[in-house]
Amino acid sequence: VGPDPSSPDLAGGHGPARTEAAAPEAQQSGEAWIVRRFQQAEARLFGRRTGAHRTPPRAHQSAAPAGSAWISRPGPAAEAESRIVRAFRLAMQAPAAAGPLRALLAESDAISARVLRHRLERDGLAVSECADGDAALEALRGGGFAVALLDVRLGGLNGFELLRAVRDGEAGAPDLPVVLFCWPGNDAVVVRAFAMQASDVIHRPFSLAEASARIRRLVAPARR
Amino acid sequence: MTLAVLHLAVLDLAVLDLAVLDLAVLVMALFVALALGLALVALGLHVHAVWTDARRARRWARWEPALLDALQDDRDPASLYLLARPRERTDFLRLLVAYALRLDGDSRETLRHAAAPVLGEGLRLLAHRRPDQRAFGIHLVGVLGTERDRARLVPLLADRSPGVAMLAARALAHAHMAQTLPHVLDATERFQSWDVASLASMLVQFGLDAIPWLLGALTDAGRSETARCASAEALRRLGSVRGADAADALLGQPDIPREVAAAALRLLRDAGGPAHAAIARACCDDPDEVIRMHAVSALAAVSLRPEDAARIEYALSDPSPWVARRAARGLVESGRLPSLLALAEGDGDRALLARQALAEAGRA
Repeated sequence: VGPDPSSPDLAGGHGPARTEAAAPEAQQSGEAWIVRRFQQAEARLFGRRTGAHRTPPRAHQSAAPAGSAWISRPGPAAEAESRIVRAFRLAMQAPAAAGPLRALLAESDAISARVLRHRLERDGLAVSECADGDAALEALRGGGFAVALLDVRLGGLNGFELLRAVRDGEAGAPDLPVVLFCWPGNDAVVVRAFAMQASDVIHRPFSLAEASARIRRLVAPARR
Repeated sequence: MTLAVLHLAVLDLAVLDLAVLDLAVLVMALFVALALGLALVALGLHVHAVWTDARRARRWARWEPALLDALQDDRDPASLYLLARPRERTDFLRLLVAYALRLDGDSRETLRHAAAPVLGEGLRLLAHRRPDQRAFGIHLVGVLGTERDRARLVPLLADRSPGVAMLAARALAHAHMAQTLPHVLDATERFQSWDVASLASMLVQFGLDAIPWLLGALTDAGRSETARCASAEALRRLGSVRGADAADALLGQPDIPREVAAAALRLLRDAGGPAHAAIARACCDDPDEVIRMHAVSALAAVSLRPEDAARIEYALSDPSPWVARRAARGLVESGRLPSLLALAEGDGDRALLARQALAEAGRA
């Protein structure tokens, strides 16, 4: 059994509203169990949802995506199963939905992290946040990021150590764009960052518009 | 009879013992009560602090979504204050300051617009009877205020608390309000607990516009020694060529305080040129070893003439080891390595110094 498909991590970006439509009472029945298992397996295998529902929410009836299945209740379990299988096949044939690009934000300061996250999400990036270097290293090893934003003063592994891990191929793709956030007044930090092939360095306090522009420039190739 | 007297004496002693014991118990009870009272006060203060923090966190959580929207231009920042009740406005300003310290450019301007309707709260704190509240008011006005608001910090340079006065000076420096520099220089007398380097660091933050005022302070004999030294050091950090000219003129005057002369020579070393070599050369013969030490460094940095190299080599034999060391380092830093290498070949104190200077420079 895979991770809980109703968790925000799996639902994110692919219609959490549809996930919520699988009402708790449906989960008590046999068909709900099938639906749930199907969702779990599908989410685990393919990383996206097919949106099986007990009842079709009105708002979504006209825009049911490929791979969705509306299952009426009461109804025969065999029909539910066939609908699920058909939805599964359609989902397999349909082109994968283009999800948002992912950004890793490893920031020790909670306020800076909130501001950046809000801005990056507005810019269309899905943000994974880490408050220390060890968690960031684990996340980077999972891969799938279009950009990594690292605070040089992170707890655990600092920004430079994470940058070295990336460039040495120990964590994620070696060519991953990496932006370091540092305080001004110490040129040696900037020199060291670029010597270690940081893609960019942003000084604090930073202009939100400028930081956003720099990050968008780095993820632009991935968008294409 | 004797037995009776002895018995009475024993009884008296017992009564006395009991009295002493009662007194000890009483004192101990008082101490215990005092300790309990202090513990209760400490606990109460802790609970109050935790409760205040939690209340502030709840308020911030209520305002932050709207603030983030304002920072993305999705909401008018000037209307954000309506989310805070009148008694919550100090916490609202705290939130804005916390964001303002992390953001710059347009984002900082957005936060200033958000603070403008309630900044009166910060201005009111400037006159608070408690110095910590006045200091907090300076922080609020310095970060979130306009130039007009920050001008109201100038009177606080004369605050009865030197710490508050220093904060006001720093706030003005951070805001690059060079026109207020004369007031800050007047107040340097009150910052005696700060060393010259810290004062100079603060003066540098006023920026290049401050140079005329710094030149005036350096050459003004009526200013305190601290203010003049800090001005010279600030001019050195700003790399002011006009500062080097002023230092040159200053060193030609009689009766310059020793620390001011040393600061002027450091300024000459880092911002001066060959035109200033004459005064540095003259100072190399000063009877004061501190002046000679800085003069040798300055001469090595600004002079290109071969006879000055000979003079610096001669300083390697100065009776003061500090002057001799500066002379050796001066030869290294000015690239006069052949003469130093030749000296290092020989014997004696000069050769030892030359070898040490070369080793420090990685040329051994």
